[in-house]
Amino acid sequence: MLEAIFWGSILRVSQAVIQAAPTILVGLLVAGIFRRLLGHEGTRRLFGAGTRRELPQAWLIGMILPVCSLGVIPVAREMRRAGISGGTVLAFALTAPLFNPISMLYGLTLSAPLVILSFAFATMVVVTGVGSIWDRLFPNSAVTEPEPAPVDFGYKRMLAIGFVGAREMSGATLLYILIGLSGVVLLSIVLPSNALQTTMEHSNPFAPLAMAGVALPAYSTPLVVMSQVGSMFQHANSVGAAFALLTLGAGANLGLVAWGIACYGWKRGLGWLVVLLAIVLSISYAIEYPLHPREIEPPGHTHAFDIYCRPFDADSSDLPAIVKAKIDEEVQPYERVALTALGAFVVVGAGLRLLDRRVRIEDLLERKSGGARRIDVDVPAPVLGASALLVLVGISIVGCYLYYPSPEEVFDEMRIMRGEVLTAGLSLNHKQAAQYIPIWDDWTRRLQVGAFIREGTLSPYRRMKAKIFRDRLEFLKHAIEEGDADESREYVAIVDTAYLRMRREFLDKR
Amino acid sequence: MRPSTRLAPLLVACAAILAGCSADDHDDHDEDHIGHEIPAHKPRDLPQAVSSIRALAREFGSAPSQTPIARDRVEIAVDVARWLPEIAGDSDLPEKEWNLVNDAAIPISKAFETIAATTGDRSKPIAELDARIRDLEAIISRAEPAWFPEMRNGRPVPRPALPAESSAGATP
Repeated sequence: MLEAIFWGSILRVSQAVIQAAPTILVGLLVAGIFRRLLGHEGTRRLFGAGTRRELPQAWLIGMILPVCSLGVIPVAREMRRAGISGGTVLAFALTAPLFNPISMLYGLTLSAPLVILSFAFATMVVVTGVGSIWDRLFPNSAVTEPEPAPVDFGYKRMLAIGFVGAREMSGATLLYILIGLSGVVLLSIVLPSNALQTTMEHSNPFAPLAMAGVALPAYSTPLVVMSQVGSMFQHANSVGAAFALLTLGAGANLGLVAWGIACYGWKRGLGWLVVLLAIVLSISYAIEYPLHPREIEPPGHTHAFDIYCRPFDADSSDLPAIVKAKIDEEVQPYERVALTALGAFVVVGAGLRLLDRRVRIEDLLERKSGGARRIDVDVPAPVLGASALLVLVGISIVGCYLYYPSPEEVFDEMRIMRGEVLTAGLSLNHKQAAQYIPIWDDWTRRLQVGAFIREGTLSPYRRMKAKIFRDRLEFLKHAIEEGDADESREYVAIVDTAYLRMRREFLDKR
Repeated sequence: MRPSTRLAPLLVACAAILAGCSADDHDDHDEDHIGHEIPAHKPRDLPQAVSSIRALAREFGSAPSQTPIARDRVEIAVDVARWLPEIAGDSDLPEKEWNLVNDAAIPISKAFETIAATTGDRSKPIAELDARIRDLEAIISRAEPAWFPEMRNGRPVPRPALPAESSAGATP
């Protein structure tokens, strides 16, 4: 049993680190831009500090920037240094991980896009509500720290931005990230495998409360949470639990709570958590019945939350090899790059701290050298900072087109899934089905968004073809799980028919 | 569902009983396993759905005006009406006709609910429902056989698994 818990925790933490690496990297970059390019005044202006639009503006910026609940920690720390009020910093820290352009587009492919828009609006209510109440309860939370001396233009400025990330990753930010990840370990210790398969049912009045208990220590990326919210609607699970998952699962983690307490003290930090939980749970219970999809027959269980539980049973064997194989299988090339970069930040940061005893590198960078050369134009740091943030937003828009390819490319990918899943269905190969069915399902979402962002529209007819395909795929999955050969064979044919209809609708009718 | 299963995550939230939930608590999962089940009253295809709706409309229409309609019958009628877009989409019905079916689904389900909620003269909502059903029957009457290939001659038509993707049409 202990072995299952140990290796289960290793697997869950590794998965979280792999998923978080790219968005932590973005968070470090944004923190560096705030510190070295925008400066305190520019950062305050960006968030409209001291104005009435401060909280909604924090919500809006948070919606656009692609960071997760771990990646937002260095950004929040920088905002606090700039003298932004605690309510706004915490509002941003909570919203930024909730949505990003990719997850928002994914959300619009769900069966009820209106629900996702309602969720986005509800998060604004949460964020502004929590922020306003917190600022009123604990006024004068803004404390400006001394601003670092400006760095000369050119490579020095770029190095200085990198060093901000390196220092964060070898200091307090790393500590808070580790505290955040400890929640993942806690869940894999406490929740046995498959423990949440029936907990989040609409019929369970404790579902939103239970989800709040799971989602706060859990770590999840915006996209994963959005796909889980989609799955919850597909399974007619508790809508309130879905909202709690979105707000607390993607938005908060133990590291963020620890940072809030460390920054603002026990009373204020826990006060924020209590107000947040009260508002999230109030909204969750308020929307439970009005937004429940009555037309869907609940299947009675879901595998969507298996990732928050221990991955292995007590009788599992050869766990180190299984963990290694799973990590190798899941890690994407861009995640490897991000992990390497994070590792480099940690090493460089540790080196900088060792060097600090003799010389602080930043002091050298901050020394003023000669003026600009004739062909060099000295672009003011705030202009560069604003441009860099705009480029970051631009990259995330381009990222949407890469993540959601054209229908032709999607169906090229689906050709592989089709072969794998249908043969898994015919041969009752559970492992193969469990691996490829979720991927095929995910590609249908990408198909819908890819068509929508290229053609500007997605007809209800196309939506329905994709939905029917996903539903049939779900039935096939359950038939394979239950080992019913006849039913599996029947569903192989049904899935394939639905697939060909969807394909014809998205490809042949263009 | 047993209370311990429901409350397990809540216990996590409290972090009071770290070992309060063991794998053994969930050993009965397979016995409790509830797969996706297709309700018995879900029609297999659009023609069957439309004739079910017609039959239910007749049943509602023939009920004495002072007698309330049984709740389970109303639920069945509303279910069938709401399934219309999905059932129609699970065929080769063209987009134009599917849009008509999709547009009719909510008004038909509301009409059933209105009839059930009306005590007294139900002739107006019944007439409205009848008009909607006639629109659907018109679609069925002009349907090409290829639109509902799975139910040709009233029987499911098997199709070979893994046909080439170039034959993107769904007709077997």
